[in-house]
Amino acid sequence: MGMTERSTQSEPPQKYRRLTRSVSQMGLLVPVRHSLWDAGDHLIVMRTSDYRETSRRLYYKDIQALSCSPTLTRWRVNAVCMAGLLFTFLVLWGIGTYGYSPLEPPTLYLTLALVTPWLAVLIINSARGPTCICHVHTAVQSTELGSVRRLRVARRVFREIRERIENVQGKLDPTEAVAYLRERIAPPVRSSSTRSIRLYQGGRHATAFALMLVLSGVYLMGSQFPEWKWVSVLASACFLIMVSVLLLALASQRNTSMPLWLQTYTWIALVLGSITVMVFEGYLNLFLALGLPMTDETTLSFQESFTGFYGIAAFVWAVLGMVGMSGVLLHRVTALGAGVESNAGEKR
Amino acid sequence: MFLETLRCGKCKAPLPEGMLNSSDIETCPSCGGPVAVWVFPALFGRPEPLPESTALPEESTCFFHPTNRAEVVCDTCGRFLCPVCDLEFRGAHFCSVCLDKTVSQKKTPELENRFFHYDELALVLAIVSLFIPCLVVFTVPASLYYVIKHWRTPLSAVPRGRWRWYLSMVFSFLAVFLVVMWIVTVIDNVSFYY
Repeated sequence: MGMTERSTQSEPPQKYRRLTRSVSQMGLLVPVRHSLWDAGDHLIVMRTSDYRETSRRLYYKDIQALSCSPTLTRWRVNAVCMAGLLFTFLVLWGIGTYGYSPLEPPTLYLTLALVTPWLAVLIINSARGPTCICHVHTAVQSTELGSVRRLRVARRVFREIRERIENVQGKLDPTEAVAYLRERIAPPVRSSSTRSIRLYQGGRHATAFALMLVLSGVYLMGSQFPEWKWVSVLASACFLIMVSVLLLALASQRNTSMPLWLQTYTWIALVLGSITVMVFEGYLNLFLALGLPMTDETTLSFQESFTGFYGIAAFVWAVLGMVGMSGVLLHRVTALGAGVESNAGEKR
Repeated sequence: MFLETLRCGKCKAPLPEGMLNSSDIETCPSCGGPVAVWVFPALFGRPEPLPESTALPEESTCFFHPTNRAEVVCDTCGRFLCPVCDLEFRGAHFCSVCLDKTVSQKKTPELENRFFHYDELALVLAIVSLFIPCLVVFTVPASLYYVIKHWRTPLSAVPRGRWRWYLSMVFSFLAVFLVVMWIVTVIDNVSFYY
């Protein structure tokens, strides 16, 4: 008797239920799709790439733990969209100075074409909620759930999976678990895979963000007194020093106790600031490259627009610097609080 | 006390026991990253040791381990098996050779974990033939070949709708129809001209 015949005779057909919809993720060359299914007594984690489907079955009786860590992907995507929008607005503002209103045809179509994609991604990404990364742990493997990338989905899916696992394995009393751990599991030995985390209070970051505020002040001075030529020299010097310190801060933030969001923000500040300066320094070439003809009136308004650009750059650097400084201060206060707590714990 | 098996996703440091089955997201004490962990009784279980099965002189022995007592028979080939060699699947007993053969012959969808989506490929070919008519000679036969050849082939570990097959057939015939119409029109025009 063949196995298929036997299995069909002895066991009822399995009922499959989709737990998450298919989630696409960009692979190296082709998109990879992930989905998660409930098959009664086990989970099916599916991955499809290039017409090839690979599935992994994780039986509820074997699952030891579920873990979920929120990630900063949503903020990173939003930051890229904001940078895109900022760049677009600078371009549109520049077009406006040449006598073309961005809200009237034919420039309106360009405005819509440039703004809509960034705005759509920004709104959809924000509406879908925080991002996360989830794993299912068994005795021999940890499997990432590629289709569970949003915290809202993770909460719903994990609630269902936990119910299923508890039906099979029984409910775990946390006090029993802790007692068992104390009895059976030895204290940890720091393995080679464990990264060492350095304590860092963000001194270089604070300097870089303070320099951003200084730079903002210099640009503001330039916008108020365009006849002072030495201001542009001072701005360039300030910018170079600030970027050097910022790069030093970015290099030293790896494997430190600095929160991930502040590390990411520092990168965002570098990118956003660089875009502003790129547009600021080379805006004339940019508009020439766009092929927009300059009228006499717009050519005459060159000096005014230059002043306006100084104002925008001052605003961008001020916002970046202030948010960054607040972040560093918050990190310092948190680190100080944690230090006090740990000291108190040690004394006890 | 720390859980050695569970580690933080960011810094890979072991997680403390206070984070077990918390209702909310906690902070990793090592790196400060947020993490939530739910553990289940399987984490504390240990695999049961196999029973002692050394064969006595008059007893039947395992085909693969001549010193071990045979306890079951392979349902496919009939070889005697000890508990070490017995592979149980859906209530039946197999030796490793028969189970491997069963998997390679793709008799049991439950044991397969790799599939090829022929229906998607057929659909893509059919869509290509609609938009690039000069490729119809290649894409439509290829699409129809996949439809006919793999109509009954299992395409996924989970239930999968057949709409892609139907759509590829419709698009293929539509592409052929459009190309034929175009050729007829061209011939009509040429004959009218002459």
